[in-house]
Amino acid sequence: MRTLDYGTLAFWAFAATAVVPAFLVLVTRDVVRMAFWLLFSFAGFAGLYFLLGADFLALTQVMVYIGGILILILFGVMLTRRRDGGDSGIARDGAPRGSGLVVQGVTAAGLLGLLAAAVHTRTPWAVREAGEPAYTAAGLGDLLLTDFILPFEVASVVLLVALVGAAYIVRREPEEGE
Amino acid sequence: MEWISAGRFAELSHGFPGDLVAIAPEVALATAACAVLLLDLGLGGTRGRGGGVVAALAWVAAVVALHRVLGAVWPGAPLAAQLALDLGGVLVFGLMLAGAPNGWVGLVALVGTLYALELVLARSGDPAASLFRAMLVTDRFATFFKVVLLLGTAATILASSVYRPMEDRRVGEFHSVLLLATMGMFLMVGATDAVMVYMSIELVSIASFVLVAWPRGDRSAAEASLKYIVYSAVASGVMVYGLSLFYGMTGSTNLADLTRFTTRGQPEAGVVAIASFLVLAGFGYKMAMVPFHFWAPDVYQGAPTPVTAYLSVTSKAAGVAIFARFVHAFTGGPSGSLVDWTQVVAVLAALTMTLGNLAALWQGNLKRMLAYSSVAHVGYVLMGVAAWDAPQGAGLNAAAFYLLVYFLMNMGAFAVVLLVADQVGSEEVETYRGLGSRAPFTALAMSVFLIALIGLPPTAGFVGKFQLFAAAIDHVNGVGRHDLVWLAVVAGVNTAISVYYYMRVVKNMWLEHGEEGVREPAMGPPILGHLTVLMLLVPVLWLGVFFGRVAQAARSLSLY
Amino acid sequence: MGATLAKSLFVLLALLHLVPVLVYLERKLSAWIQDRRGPNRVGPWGVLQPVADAVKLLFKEEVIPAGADRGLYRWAPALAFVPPMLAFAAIPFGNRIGTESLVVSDIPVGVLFVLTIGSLSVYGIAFGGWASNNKWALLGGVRSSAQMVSYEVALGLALVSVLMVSGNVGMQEIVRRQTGSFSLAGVPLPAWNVFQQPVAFVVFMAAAFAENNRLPFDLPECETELVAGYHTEYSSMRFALFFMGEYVAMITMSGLAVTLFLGGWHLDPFTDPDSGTWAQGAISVLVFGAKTLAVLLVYIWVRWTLPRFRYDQLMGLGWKGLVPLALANVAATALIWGPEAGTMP
Repeated sequence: MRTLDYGTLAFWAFAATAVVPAFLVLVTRDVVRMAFWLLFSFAGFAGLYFLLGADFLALTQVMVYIGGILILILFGVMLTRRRDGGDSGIARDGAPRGSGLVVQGVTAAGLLGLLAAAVHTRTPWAVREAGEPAYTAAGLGDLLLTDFILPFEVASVVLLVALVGAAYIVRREPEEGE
Repeated sequence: MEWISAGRFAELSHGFPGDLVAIAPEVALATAACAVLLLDLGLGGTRGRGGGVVAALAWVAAVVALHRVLGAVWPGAPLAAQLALDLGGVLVFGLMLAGAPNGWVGLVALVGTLYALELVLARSGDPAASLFRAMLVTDRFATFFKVVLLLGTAATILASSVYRPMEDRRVGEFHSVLLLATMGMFLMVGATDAVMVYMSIELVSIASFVLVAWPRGDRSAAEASLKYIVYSAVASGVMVYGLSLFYGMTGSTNLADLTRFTTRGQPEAGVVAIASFLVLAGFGYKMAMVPFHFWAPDVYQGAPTPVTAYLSVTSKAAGVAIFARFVHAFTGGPSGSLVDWTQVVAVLAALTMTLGNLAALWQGNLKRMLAYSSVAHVGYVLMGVAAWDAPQGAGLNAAAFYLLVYFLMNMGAFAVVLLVADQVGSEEVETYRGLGSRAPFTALAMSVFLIALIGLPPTAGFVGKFQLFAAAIDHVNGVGRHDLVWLAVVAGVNTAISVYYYMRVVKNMWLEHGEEGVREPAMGPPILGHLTVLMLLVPVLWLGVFFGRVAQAARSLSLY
Repeated sequence: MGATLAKSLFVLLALLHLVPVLVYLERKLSAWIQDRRGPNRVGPWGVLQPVADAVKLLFKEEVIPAGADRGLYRWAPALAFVPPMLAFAAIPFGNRIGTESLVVSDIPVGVLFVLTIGSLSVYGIAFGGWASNNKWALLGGVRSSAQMVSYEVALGLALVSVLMVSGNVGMQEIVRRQTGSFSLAGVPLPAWNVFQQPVAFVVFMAAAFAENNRLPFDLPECETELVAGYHTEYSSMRFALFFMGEYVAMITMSGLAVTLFLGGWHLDPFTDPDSGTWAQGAISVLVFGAKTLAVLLVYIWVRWTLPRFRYDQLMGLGWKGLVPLALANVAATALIWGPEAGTMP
C-alpha cells in the first residue's frame, strides 16, 4: 500500500473532476447544462496538466477550451432554437432493416472491448524521473519552430480552412439586387 | 531569456531550405488556394472589369501548365502530340470559361493543380528523402499517390464547373478549400510522424466537412456534413488514443521509432496490438473500411455530386496510403508481434468487400449504391495491402495501380450521375430506364464505367483487379504457404455478387423503356460535361489494353 | 505554507473590503460629476451607505423566477464572483519581505494565469442570463459572452507586445524590468511599459473596460435596452455576488494594468527593489494600492462621462479597430525591439 501523498490525492481529485462531469455531459438532456458540466471536465484536465508539470499547456487548455470554445458553444446554443427537423431523405437505406444496426452494434462493442483491454493491460510506459517543475513555454516555442515546424505551419492552414468554411456556411445570401 | 541569434537559427533550421524545395507541390497548392480566394474576393466572382483579364491569363496559364505536364510525363513527345494536347486544352479551358460567369475561378484552381502535377512528375525520379526532421517523406509510393490525387482534383474541378447548383454561388471558397484538402492528402500520404499524421488528417477532414456542406440551405448536405463530423470526431479520438499509447511507450512520435519498438519482439505485445488497432481504426474511417464505413453512404448521397466523386476517390486513396504505410511500420521486421497483420488486414478486406457489396444490392439511389460500391472497392484494394510483402512488393503496387484505375472509372460514373441528374433531376436507378435510346453516348459511357467497376475486360478495371488477385494468390507467408488464396476466392465471389447491381443499371438503360409520364430529358449535351466523361472514358478503355507503361510506373513503389 | 496562507488571507480581505469603498467612491464621484450630492444620510458624508446596502441585501427575500433552471440559477453568481478573486493570486501586490515574494503564487506563466482565470467569470454571466428564463437576461448573457470573447483577443494581443518587451511572462519579473528609467527624446522617464508601449496600453485599457462590462461597453446590462441585463431576475445576496464580482474583476484588472504597464509596486524613489525589509515591503504594498486605486478612479471617471456604444459599434471597434491595431503594434514591436528584446532596462 502506497502512502497517500498530496500529489496522488491531487491526481485523483483532478481525475474525478475530469471524468465525472464528462459522464454527466453524456446523461444530461439540457444542452446548456451539458456545457456547464463540460466546463468542469475541461478544468479537471487542466489540473492534470498542471500536475504533470505542463503549466503552459494547462493554461492554454483553460484559455482555449474554457475561455474560447465552450463559450462559443454556449453562445451558439443560446441563439439557436430547437426546430423539428424533417427527414432529409438521405438516410433511407434500402438494405434490410436492422442489418446496419447489427454491424454498428458489433463495431461499438468491439471498440469498447478494445478500450477496456487497453485500460486493463499493463502498459509498459517509458517512464522518466520527474525533475524540478520547469518553465515549459520556452522549450515548447523552441520545438514548434524547429522539430515540429511543419505541423505547426499546417495547423495554420487547418485554421484557414475552418475559417473560410465557417464564413462561407454562415454567410447570408445577398438579397436580390444588392 | 535569450532570443535565438541568427547563428543559432541557422543551426536549428539546418536543411530546411532544401526541404522547402522538396515540398514545392504542396506549396504550389496552398499558393493556388490563396490566389483563388483572393482573386474571387477581389473580383466578386464576376467577369467584370478585372475578371476578363484574369480569365484570359488563366486560360493561357492553364494551357501552358498542361503543356508542361506533358513534357514531364513524356519528354520529347512528338510535336503533333504536343499540338493536339494544346488545342484540347484551349478548347476545354475555353468551355470552362464560357460555361459560367465565374468559370475562371475553377480555371485558376486548375492551373494550380496542373502546376503541382508538373512539379510532382518532374521530381518523381528523385531519391526518397526524409524532410523536416522526419515529419514527412517523399518516396516513390507517395509520389504515385500524389499523381492520383492531383488527377482526381483536376477531374473534380472540371466536374464542378458543369455542376449547375454550383453556378450562381461564390465558387472561390469552394476551390480554395478543395485545393487545401488535396494539400492535406499530400501530407497524409507522406506523413511519418504521429503529429504530422494527425494534423494532415484533420486538415483533410475539416476541408471535407466544408465541401460536403457546400450547398447552403440544402438539408441533406447539412445532414451529411454533420454526420461526417460526428463520425470523424469519434474516429480521430480513437486514433489519437492509440497514438498516445505509442507515445507513452516509446517517448517519441516518430514512425521509425515506432517501428523499432513494435518489431523488437517484446513481452508487451498485447498493448502494442491494441494501440495498433486503435490507430488503424482512424485510417480505416478515412477510407471507409468496414466496420468504419457507416458515414460513407449518407455522406456520399447527401454531398454535392462533384464532392462525392472527389471524396470517394482521393480521400480513399490517401487513407489507403497512410494505412499501408502504418501496416508496413507495424510489421516491417522480424515479426515478434502478437498479431499476424497479413491475416488481420485480409479479414478486414474480406469483411469490407462483402458488406459493401451486399448492402449495395438493395439501393435504389444510384449515388448511395455507388457509395456502397466504393466501400466494396476499398476491400479489393486492401487485398493488395494485405499482400504487401508479396514478391517484388506486388501487393502495394497492385493496390496503387488499382486506385488509379478506380479513380478513372468511379469518377466517370459519378460524372454521368451528375449529367443525368442535371437533366432529369433525379439520382434514382429507375430514372435510367431507356437512357440508351435517349442519350446513347452517356449511356454507353456509363455502361463502360460500370463494367470496369465489375472488373470485366476489356477495361482497366479488369487489369487492376487481375493484378490484385495475382498478388493475393502469389503471396506466401513465413513458412512458405500461400495464405491469401482464401481472400482471392472471397473477392471472386464478391465480384460475382456485384455483377447484379451494376448490371441492373445497365439493363435499365438499354433494355427497358422510359415509363410514360416521365419527362423525356433532353440530353442536349452540355459539351464540357460530355468531354469530361470522354476524358475519363478513353483511359478506362486504353488502360484495359495498353496498361504496360502505367503499370510499370506503379511497380517498385518502394516505401521509404 | 503558512506564508502563502497569510498572503491569501491578506489579498482576500483587501479585495472584499475594497469593494464597499469603491462603491461609495463611485457614488460620490458620479454625484460630483453630475452636480449632485450623492449618499449623505447614513453616517458622516454618507460613508456608511455601503454598510446599509449590504444589510439590506442580506435580509431581502430571494426570488427565483418560475421556469428558471434552478441549479444553474443558484450556481451562476458564484461562477461570476470566484474567478476574479482567484486571478488576483498571480498579481504581485508588493516587492518582498525577507525572501517572501509578495504575491500569492509567483507562477512562471502569471500573465496567462490572470487572463485565463479572469475570463472565466463570463460563465457566471452567461449561465445566469440563461437560467433566469427571461429574454432580457438571456440577451444580456449572450451579449456578454460575445463581447468578452471578442475583446479577449485584443487584450491578449496587447499583452503580447508587452511580453516581448519584457522578455518574460512571470509577473514579478515584469515589474522588475520596469524599475529602471529611460529617456524619451531627452525627457527622463521611468521605464514603465506604458511609456514603451503606449499603443498596447490604450488597447489594453479599452479591452479591459469591455471585459469588465463597464461603460462605455456595458451592453450586457444596458438599462435602456435590457432592463438590467443578465441580473434582471436576481435579488438579495445572489445579486450582491454578481455586483461584487464585477467590482472585484475591476480591481483585478486594475492590478494587472498597474503590474504590466505602470511599474507595479515600484515608484522611484520610495521603493527599493533590492531591499527586503518590512518597511520597504509595506511601502511597496502601499504604492501598489495607490496606483491601483488611481486606475480604478479612471474607470469611474470614464463611466460617468462617456455615453454607451451601440452593440454593432462595439463589435466593430473590437474586431476592426483594436485587434488590427494590436496586431500592428506586435509587428512594430518585433521590428523595433526584436533583436535586443528582453535586454531593456
